[in-house]
Amino acid sequence: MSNELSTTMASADLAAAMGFSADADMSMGSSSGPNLSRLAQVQAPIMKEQVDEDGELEEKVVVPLGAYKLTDSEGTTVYSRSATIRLFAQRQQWTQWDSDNNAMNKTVMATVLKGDLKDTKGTFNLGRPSAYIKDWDAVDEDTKAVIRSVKNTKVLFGKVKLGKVTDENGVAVKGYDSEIDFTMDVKNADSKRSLDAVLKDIVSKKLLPIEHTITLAANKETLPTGNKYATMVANLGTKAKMVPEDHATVQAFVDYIDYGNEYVLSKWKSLRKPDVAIDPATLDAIVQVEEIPF
Amino acid sequence: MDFAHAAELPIKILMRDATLGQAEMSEAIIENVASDVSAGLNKQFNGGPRDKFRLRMSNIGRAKCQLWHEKNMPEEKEPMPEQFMMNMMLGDIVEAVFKGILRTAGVEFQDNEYVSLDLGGGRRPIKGEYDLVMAGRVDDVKSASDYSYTKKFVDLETLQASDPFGYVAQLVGYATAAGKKVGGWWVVNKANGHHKYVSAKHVDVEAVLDKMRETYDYLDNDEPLERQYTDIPETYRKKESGNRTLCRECSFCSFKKACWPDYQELPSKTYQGKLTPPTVHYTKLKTDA
Repeated sequence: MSNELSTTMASADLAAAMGFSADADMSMGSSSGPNLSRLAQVQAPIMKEQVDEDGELEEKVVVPLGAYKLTDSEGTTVYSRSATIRLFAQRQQWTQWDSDNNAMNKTVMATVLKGDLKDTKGTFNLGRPSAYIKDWDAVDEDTKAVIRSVKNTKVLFGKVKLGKVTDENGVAVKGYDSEIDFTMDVKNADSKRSLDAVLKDIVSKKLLPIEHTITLAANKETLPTGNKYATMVANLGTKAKMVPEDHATVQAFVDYIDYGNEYVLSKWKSLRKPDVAIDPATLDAIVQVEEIPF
Repeated sequence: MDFAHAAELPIKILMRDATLGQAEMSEAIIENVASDVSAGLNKQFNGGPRDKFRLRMSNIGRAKCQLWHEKNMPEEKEPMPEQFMMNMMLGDIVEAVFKGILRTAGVEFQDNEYVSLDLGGGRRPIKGEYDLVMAGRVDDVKSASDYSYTKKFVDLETLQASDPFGYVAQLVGYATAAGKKVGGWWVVNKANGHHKYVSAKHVDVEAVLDKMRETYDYLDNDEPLERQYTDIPETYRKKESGNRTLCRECSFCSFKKACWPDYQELPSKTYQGKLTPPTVHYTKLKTDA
């Protein structure tokens, strides 16, 4: 019987590796979550000036549009034109860039973008109306602006193996030969479609996503303004055998998601405004009742 | 794919290995499952009458008006449908088998335990029995219909938006009483065997407890009946049909006849599919006007 569809370890061992056995540390307090590296696609090529054979100054593309960049928790960024990932978990959230504060507002991460998700602004869904909009033209401009600014974001958690790794000067960097835990935000609809199609293929093979690699490449697109941008192109890679560490990685990602959601909820609680504004006259009446002399 | 709980992985692997004939369940675990099923049958058949009203963890999250009727007008309660007992037993069997699967997969958990919730302020304790504690969090095992699995047990927010059975309060009550963190629900689809974990880790515990206190006081103070819901317009493809129906909460309530004496259970007036039309609780038909 093929062992490609079975684990290389007993399920009880898997549970132990994940911290669910009696012997394991149940607290899992040392989440690797906050130390995750962040994977992203390069949306503007990195150019470098250099002198050509004729002594002329020319600009050379060092990191092309659509390449992948990986930034670790210490801020070190490396680049690669290709990446191979294994996905362990995915969630969705609404995100909105706050240019005034140079920060990203976000909701809690959920398995589906339904319902009222609490956010870091103390509101729900970052103020995006949840009801179906029948007539877009009837929507006021302020609401339209909110809807346009709030992005449906898929958050990926997995392990990535980069192709040829360089720094921002195009110089080869060593030490990136093994898989690295990462998280990645995907907002572009074509990128999400491409990824979903590959995941569907993996599931149709009766495999878990962590048992198959996905190779990431790029498509270069042009906006009507002439500006270029890149989308993610996901392709089916090869079957991969699970290793014991994978199961601890699942736990670490779930911990990371909980950690992120707890942060959002604490912000929501601290900023939450009362649902009903109390009319000053009503407040005055309440105070007067309490001041009735006995 | 979307692991909401890391223990989903060993469970999935075990189930797949079992279908390939590559997994075993020990005799001790099988006996444990059989013992749990036996206890469930004893509870359902030999546990005495179930009609005496008291606030329990499993009902304190229900609508206040339903609980008011339970306390003050028990004679108005609809008789339990004949499938009630079967559903209760299926729930017990699913829970017993699920725990057997957890044990076989090597997932460590603490088994069910009776707990008492002190809501403070001199209120009497609310009692109940939680299903299990895993990784320090209280989880509940639910066997769900296909509708409930796909439409309600989606996430905490969806469940909180319409929770006629009070599952959120039940779970929060168990966890608070046990002095542990809130976990979530292990949900098994009775129709097709699918299973998943729905996390409630980010629930606002204090808000849920406040609501439980409000319900307790409302009933304890013998306050007058206060209906929580009204009927709603029937819609089909987002267009109102002109008919009105009971809301979901009232549809599931055993006292709907007391509140809505003239409601009618009829085949859907708007259904245009080829199957048997679903039964709808109509409070007003367009022709009534």
